[in-house]
Amino acid sequence: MKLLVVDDEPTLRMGFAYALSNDRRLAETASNGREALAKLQEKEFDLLLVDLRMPDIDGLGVVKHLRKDGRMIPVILCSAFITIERALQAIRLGVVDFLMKPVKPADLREAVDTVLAPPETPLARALEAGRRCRMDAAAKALEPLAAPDPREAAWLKIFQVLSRMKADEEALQRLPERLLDQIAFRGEDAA
Amino acid sequence: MLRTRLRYALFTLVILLWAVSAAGLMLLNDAGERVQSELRANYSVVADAHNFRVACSVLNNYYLTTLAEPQGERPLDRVLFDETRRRIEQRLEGVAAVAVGRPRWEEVVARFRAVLEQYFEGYEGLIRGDVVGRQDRSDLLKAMGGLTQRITDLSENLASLAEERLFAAADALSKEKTKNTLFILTLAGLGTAIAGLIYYQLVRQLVDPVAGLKHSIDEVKRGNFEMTVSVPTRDSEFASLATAFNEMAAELRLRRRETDESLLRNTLVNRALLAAIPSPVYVISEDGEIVQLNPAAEDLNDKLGISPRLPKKVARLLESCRQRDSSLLPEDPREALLFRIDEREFYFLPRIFRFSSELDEHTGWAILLHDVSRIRWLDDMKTNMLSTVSHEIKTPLTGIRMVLHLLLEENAGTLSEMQRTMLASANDDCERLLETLKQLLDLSRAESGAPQLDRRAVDLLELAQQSVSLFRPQAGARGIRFRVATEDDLPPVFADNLRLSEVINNLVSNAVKHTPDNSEVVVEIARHGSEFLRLCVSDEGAGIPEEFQDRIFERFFRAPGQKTDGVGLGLFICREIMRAHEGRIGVKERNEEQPTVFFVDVPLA
Repeated sequence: MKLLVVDDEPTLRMGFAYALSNDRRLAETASNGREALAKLQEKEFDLLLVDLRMPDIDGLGVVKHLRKDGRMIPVILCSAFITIERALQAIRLGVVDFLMKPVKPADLREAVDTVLAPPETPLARALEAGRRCRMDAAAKALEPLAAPDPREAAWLKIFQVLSRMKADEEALQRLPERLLDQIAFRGEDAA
Repeated sequence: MLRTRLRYALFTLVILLWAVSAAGLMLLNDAGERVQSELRANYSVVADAHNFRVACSVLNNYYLTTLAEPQGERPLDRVLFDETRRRIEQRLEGVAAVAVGRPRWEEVVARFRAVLEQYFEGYEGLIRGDVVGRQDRSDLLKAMGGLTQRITDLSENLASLAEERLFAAADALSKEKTKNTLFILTLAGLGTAIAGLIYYQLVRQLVDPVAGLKHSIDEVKRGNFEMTVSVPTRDSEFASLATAFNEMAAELRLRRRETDESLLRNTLVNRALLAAIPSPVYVISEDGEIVQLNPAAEDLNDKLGISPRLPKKVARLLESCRQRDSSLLPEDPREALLFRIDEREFYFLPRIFRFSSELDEHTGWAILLHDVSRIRWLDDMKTNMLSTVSHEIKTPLTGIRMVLHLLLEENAGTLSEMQRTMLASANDDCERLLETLKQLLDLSRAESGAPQLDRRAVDLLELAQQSVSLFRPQAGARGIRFRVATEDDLPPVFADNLRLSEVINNLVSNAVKHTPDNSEVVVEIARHGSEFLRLCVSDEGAGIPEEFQDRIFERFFRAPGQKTDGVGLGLFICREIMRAHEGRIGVKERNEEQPTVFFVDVPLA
């Protein structure tokens, strides 16, 4: 399996690549958006880990290029800080995995594992649909839940808004900033 | 002196009155007496004249009748004759006394006397018996009859003379009366003149000054203190009054000048103060008119092009202040109003004061627009810089942390004990630094706008229990126990779930940090008044020294000598969150049993 880690911070890049590489996985790195796009052009990757904030082409810019080419590679968006607008922009591009920096190696591995081999939960199914930009399917996966936990409720709300969003920009604006705390990936020990 | 003069004048008048009365009485007495004596004298003459006739006829009757009797029949008695003659002569003497100095009277009296002599001679002869013959008798009778007739005539004569006298006296009396009347009238006229003089003097000395004083007082009442009263030259009670009045007017003039001066000085000072204030200041009357504005306000109005009015945004605020009847004194520069002047943005913090005098007579509004553009700019700069710097530090730090974690995982190779200790220490520092950065970023986020809340009915007990279970592992390691105490049937509160959790977590975390090992942390929830639920978190730690209790909610405040880490933002952020909830956060006063009690009051749903 091949992973591409894109980050302009060399130590972090190195750490990420090292943490994710094992006998079954190989992580390559790119130090900026341009380089990442070049590598993506060259070969196929199973997963893209991209930093949101980068000097030339930022994380979302990279994803946009990919989606324009019709490539639906799963993407984990890493950032230290993200606004609700950027997050929604990302979700609409099929990026539903957010990793908040700083991140521990264990959490990083868990996040990657979860994306590559999703567990059999309604939320995982919904996120899987979200990765393919199928918001209505994602919302439907969560709707039957009788007692959603805050994270599930937050995702349901987002998917519901996005699925009928086309004419409803204002509903997006009204989503509270706090949803971000819920949608970001959380390791088992972070609860 | 007026009193003396008045006394003299009235004294004169009284004297005159007495004189007139005395003169009148005297004249009346005099006239009466004269009339009386005249009457008495003349009346006695008339009576005497009558008596003469009566006496003669008595004599004639007595004696002449004997002539008709035979002669010598009885001797003639002379007693009656002597008696009558003596009386007649006596009366004649009286009449003669009256007649003295009156020629006609003397003549009549002399003739009377002569006739009487003859008359008495006749009777002497008769009584002596000289008359014996018939012839003699008839002659005597004839002569006596003639004499009697003459006596009667002369008597008549005397009586008419006396009457004449009486008439003359009456005439004189009436003449006297005219003269007296004239005299008394003259005196009365004089009295009237004196009374007039007194009146004139009274008017001049008493009424005129009073009228003048009244006029002057009226003038003073109208505020004309320049009006003075002329001081009467001669000594008069009014001189002192007028002097006193003039002194009073002078005093008032002085006072007014002082008042005017202090007013002028105050106005100047006020104007100078207003001019010295760089912020625009408007003073508005109760009916909304601009009473005063300082040069800065004029300048602002000119720039906004709204010369005589309040800027619209300010007017709206003033209107709402008026409806609430309260001042508006915001402190937070974020509440500033934005004005665009020459393509530039200016922020003015509107401070609206209501002012009133003690009796609410003079009320109005003062509006000060505090220019906080620079503060806003600096604040924005600071927030931006805080955020930028934090991010810039955070980015490499995440890399370092990642690497440290990887090394500590020992996947890259086994570490010696020393290497492990050093890396663990570096990792701890790294974690602490990241925590600090997280708080700084929270702060910059909190400051870049009031936290937006998603408020709904929330079970406060559930939040407290969540928080306690979150810290249980950490507390358990140090033998710290939790106790949650609550009333039955607590109503829900109206709050933002996550934000309120943040606050409770902060308080519980602090309690766990500061309480000694193997002690108890108590979370209590109870009603507080009719509008709040109060959640208290108490621990058995040393507590907060009293001198710092007021400051612990300030940003970046850390009590000196604190062992644990942190930058002193936790409680500040908590306070911001509680403010946004219209709730409260605070520390209870210390007591023996519970050294530290923090509380939050959350509004009921």
